[in-house]
Amino acid sequence: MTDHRSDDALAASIGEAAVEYLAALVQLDTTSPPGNERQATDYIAAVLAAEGIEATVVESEPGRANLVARLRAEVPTGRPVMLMGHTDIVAVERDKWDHDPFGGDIIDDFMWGRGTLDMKNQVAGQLAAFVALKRSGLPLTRDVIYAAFADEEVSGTLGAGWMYEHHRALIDAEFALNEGGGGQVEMGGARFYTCGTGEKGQSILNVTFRGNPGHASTPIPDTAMEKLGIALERLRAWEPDLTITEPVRAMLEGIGDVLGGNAQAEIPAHPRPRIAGLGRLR
Amino acid sequence: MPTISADQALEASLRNEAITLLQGLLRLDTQTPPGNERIAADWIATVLEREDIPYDIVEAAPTRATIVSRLKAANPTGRPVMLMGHTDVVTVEPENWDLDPFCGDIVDDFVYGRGALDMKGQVAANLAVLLAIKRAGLELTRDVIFCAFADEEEGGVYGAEWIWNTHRDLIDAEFAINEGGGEPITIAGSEFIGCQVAEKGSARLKLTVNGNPGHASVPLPETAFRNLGIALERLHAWDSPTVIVKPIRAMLESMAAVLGGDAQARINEALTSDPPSWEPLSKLPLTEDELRSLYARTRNTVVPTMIHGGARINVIPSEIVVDVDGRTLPGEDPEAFRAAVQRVVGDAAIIDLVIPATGTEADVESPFYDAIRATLTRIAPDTHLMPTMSAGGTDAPLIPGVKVYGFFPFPPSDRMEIYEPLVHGHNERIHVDDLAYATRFIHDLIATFATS
Repeated sequence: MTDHRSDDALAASIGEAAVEYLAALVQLDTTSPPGNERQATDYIAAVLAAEGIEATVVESEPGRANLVARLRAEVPTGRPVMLMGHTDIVAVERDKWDHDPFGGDIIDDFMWGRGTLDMKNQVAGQLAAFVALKRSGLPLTRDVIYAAFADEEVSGTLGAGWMYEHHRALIDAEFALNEGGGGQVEMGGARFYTCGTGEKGQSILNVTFRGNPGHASTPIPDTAMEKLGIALERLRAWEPDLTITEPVRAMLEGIGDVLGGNAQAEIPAHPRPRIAGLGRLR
Repeated sequence: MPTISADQALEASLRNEAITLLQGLLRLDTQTPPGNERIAADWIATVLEREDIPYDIVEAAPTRATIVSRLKAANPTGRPVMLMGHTDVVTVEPENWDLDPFCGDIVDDFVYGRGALDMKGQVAANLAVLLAIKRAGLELTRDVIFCAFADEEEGGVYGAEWIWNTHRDLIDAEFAINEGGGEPITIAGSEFIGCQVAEKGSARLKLTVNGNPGHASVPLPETAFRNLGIALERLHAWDSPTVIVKPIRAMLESMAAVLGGDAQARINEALTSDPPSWEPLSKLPLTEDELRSLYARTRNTVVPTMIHGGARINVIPSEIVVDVDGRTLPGEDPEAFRAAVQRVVGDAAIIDLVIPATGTEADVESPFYDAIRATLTRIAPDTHLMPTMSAGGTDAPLIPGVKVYGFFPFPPSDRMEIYEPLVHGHNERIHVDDLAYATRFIHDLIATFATS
């Protein structure tokens, strides 16, 4: 049974709460480093406490606080689902901003401030949704976890990574909703929303060139600079093998299903992908 | 009581004076930056005052002091000759020294301290020579100038360059003897000693590569790094044309005359081919290091040494800058050189001239060069004087009106190998016999040249 009027009212109330939470969070300077996410978790814990929800706050280092809260299913039939986010933000160059990056001011319906897109917006939205779920008293079939991690922007070793290592039970969900997707793409007249289901790993490599040292007034062979030039040329010329992983295959197939025709035909149907075919997808 | 000749007495006096003066200078910390050469100038001034020799101390900036002194000829028939040097030294890492770098102690006949070789040793020798000439009351036919500049190691802005621009009358010599030459070298069994008559210019170039910026998770075409690879490859592949400037021609000719045979034929072939050819020179009986050194002295060179670029691991930079050490032959126009390097890298990079420099050269057919040769022939009859050109680096180009000869002669010995890593390195020191040898040489050279 759906009551559209109460649906709209619910949406409005969640939206208003999200705006209030976001403004409050933006006004807390959680620039990382140093992070000092404790300010944000204290605020969130207070919001939750007012709703009768108990939050667990754990620090990996002084000030580097992670918050987790949970709405319990009385008789769970599945493992938990988690609303995850991070409260730290990247640094600002104040002189390049038109408005206070920590003001949270609303101007022409835009809220201004560091973190309004990455990702205090989602932290606030998920908090509003979490509170609404609690108020609704819906009978849950699985626990709903709310998590606000520290230290995403720099490394995660004091945030999500540390929590997984030391407090896994608190965040041991089956599924989680996170930042990273939600963008719109127009393709062949159709509109697609992206949902991030996979992430590439980031390996940081160190390449070291060793060569003959000497006084720069006299050219010598086999210098580190010479090898650097050669290596950069080789890297540039490298054409890595085309590999289509499961998430990308699913993405391509999803596009093909909607667009049909040639686009569908070019989507690899067998495990020997051809870049030539994909190159024609526009 | 044994009798000693006047010559032996002079020799002993020059030797003891130079050693004592060097010890005193080494005990003054004139590391640059900041230099603080004032303490050296003041110390030298007290030495001069004891001998009643007038001097001037001038400062381009507080404590950056240069001291100049002059023995006047009563009736000069020629323009002055100058004993030039600098009192600043490069920095030390004391933990890597066996002794205090400013102790000036003598251990196993070596005087220890930063500057023993570069170049308080020569400053001490020059000062000892000045005192000896004053005491001898020689009848000078030209003034003898003693000059100890500040700020040589960092470019001469507070030293030679400033003096030349603001106090030229103090140092307006016709000829000068300076650091830079004097190392013995054996080629195919013959003994040579180099006199530095020319220097390449030291030009600093900036190589800038630009390209598309973006997030490093998605490779882009036409990035700064791509262009960097191309530009570096082109720089290294460049075979800069062989050019034989006059001092190098003179050097090769003196080698040919002494060595004869195949070496002579190859040198003649290189000198007579048009354009000059590196190929016959590459077959001369020289060590690999000597060949590289000759290669560098027969062309302009560019060597990239420092890279600046990139701010984050995940951002493709739009610009990368490489500092390039460029060395130009005397007479080369800096802008023409920049344009030539620009042509080498083509559209991959932009070449800017950050510090233009021109080399310098002194005449090998001059009475002073002849006097150096005559003095050498008397002191070391089997050693051949050979003009050389350095790849750049002394005060000489900063005083372009003076014909500067770099010469602080060492007698051939196995000590040359000990010295090789010490200049700007750790445990810098000079053997007292080598200091005495050069002091005696400079004395005889000046005592003859300034009285003839």
